[in-house]
Amino acid sequence: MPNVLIVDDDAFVRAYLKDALAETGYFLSEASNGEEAVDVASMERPDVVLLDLLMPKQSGLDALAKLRNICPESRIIVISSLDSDSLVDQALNAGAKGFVAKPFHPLEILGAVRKVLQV
Amino acid sequence: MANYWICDSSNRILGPLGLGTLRELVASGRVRELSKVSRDGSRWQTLDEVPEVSRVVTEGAAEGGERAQKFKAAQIRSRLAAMRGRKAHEIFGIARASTLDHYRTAFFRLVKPFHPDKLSGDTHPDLRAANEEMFKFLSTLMVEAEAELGAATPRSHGESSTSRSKLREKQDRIPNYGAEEFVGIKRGPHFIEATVRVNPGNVGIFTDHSMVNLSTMGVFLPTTHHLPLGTLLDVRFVFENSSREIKARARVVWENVGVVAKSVSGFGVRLLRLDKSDQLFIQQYVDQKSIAQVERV
Repeated sequence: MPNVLIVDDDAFVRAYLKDALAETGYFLSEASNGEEAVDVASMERPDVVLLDLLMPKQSGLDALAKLRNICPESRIIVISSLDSDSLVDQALNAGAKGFVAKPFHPLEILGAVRKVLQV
Repeated sequence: MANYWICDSSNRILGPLGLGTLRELVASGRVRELSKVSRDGSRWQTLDEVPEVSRVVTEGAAEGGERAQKFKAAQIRSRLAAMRGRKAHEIFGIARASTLDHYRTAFFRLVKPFHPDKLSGDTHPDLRAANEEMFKFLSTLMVEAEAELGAATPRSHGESSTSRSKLREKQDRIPNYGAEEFVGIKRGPHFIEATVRVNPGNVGIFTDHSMVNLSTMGVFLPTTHHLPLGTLLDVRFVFENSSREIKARARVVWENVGVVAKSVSGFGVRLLRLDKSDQLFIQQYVDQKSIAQVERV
């Protein structure tokens, strides 16, 4: 079963994402900031990372760069309300496989995760 | 391209970002309440210590505010376009056969959000203009509705119903004062002063108008001069047969530029700061003159 790491400083968003993916049977883990995400990812080697951008301790973009080095096989989907064109481009150019703007519907997340897992 | 990390008041970090992206995020309201900035992601400084970021944040916030206000102005104009050509009762959301009081209540409820006093001093000119367009449109609609309902009669305070009806019968429904009662406007670098010569024949400027009268702390100034809605001015009242002179700060809240038939051109002001004693004097002056007028009829 795929392993999905949920990274967001907002506990509500983490719970919302876990609910959205609960019925898939995926193994779910979570982190509340960029530093923690890098630590968890280095141990669990997630197939997919759902990554917020604006977080304490370490920004999502810095975490994205580190995750690309530590586990290049992980497919990273950025989830953020900061969906300006230039920032979306920056995230995709840095190696993210997708960008889902907040607020999102659970089916959007499910669709985005399934899509990157099929590639 | 220089990169920056920003930190908001909740200690959340975003970066690295270029100044263009930061400006876009601030202008769209997606990023706000920034407290710190870093050039390397580890050493943090206040915004003031990084002037190029501080400038972008200030400009972005101003641009965002301007964009939001322009959007609001467009919304008001779109609403106005939908109103044009429709009857007053349809726009006010009341039955056509409603009483004048119902029309007035509905009018005031509708026009209130567009009143010039509701706008702050730094409101974007486009939003101010859109508010004025709506305010003028609704005010004109109300005046026309009043004319249609045949209610443009004086409502002097202190009159008995008998004396009022007597006065009504004798009046031609056209106000008996004109622009000549209004002495004029004096403009200085930092002030506008309007002088009004009040006499027994024109006390109706305090009572005749349904929207600007003593009960609403307003007065109608008959004149061909034009002052935009929202203009602040000093009004000086000089009373015939009295040594009393009253000065008050006022704001233009209504204007009739001659679109309504059988009415005098001019504008209505709301008196912002009027002493109780001055208010009482005007009230008594109006009452005395109205009674004398009725007695003569």
